[in-house]
Amino acid sequence: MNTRIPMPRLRQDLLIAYLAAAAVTAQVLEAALPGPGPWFKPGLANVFTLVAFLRLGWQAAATVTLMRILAGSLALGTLFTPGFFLSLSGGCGAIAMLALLRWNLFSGLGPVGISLLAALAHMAAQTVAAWLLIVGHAGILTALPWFLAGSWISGVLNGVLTFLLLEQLDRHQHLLTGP
Amino acid sequence: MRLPALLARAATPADRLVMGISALGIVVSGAVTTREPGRQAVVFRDNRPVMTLSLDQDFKKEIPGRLGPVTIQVEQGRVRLMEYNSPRMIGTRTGWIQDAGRATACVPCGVLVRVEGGAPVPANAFDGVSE
Repeated sequence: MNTRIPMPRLRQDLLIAYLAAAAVTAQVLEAALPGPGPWFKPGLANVFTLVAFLRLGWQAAATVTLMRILAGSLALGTLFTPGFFLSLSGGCGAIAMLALLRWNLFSGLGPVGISLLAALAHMAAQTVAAWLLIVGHAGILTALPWFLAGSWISGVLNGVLTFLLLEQLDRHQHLLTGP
Repeated sequence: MRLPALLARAATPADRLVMGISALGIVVSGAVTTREPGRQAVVFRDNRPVMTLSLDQDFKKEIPGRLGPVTIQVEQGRVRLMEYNSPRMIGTRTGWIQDAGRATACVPCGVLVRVEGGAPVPANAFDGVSE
């Protein structure tokens, strides 16, 4: 499943831009919809980050994540608010996890496992950032298991969605590599 | 296609191992952080304790948060916070908490409420909001 596809640089950059645009769209749409619960946020935008990671590599995933956070915050009007810094810290946590996973530290992992580990790292980093930067009290860490439970569910669901999206992309490889 | 069938197709054995270990870790950490019933609630604003409330006495007060007012309410041995201007309203949607060690927060507001055990305190033993 973790198959890098060789392609011209320009086409790769275009694909990163498409994935980032799709991620921003997912983030903005998700923000407009009512959430299913306080501990649970679907985080559908991360599906596109995972596609970038699995098909283009870690740097592409980092680019998609940072572009999504910046452009998404601009679109939602939350740039440089506490929510932006929480989002940025969560994104950095997920990128750090993907950086570890690119060395195949856990061989045999597919989209579901990678998505799950990235989601847990995202939430852990976000909660620690909330503690250190905003709330300033370690009491927030007592809520971490509840946050992580929500992330576990969203991580697995997004992993399945990534698997399905990759299946579709592999059936239409000309979209990635050109005619 | 149903989710279990999809999951069976999408998840590798290593994925399932990670799912199992992480789920176990979350359940254990959740059990460890849930302790005895709480006796008091401490309200923090930007890491400063501004109120200590006995959970034995009903109470309701609005305090200023970074994004607007936040209401702290104690009722029937439980406490909750209600924010009115927060992106995800996590504090409000968390609802009532009562076990020692549990916390509820509106992170963008900078307000956190932590339930503690120990000896009961008189209501409003310390009130930094009005200082």
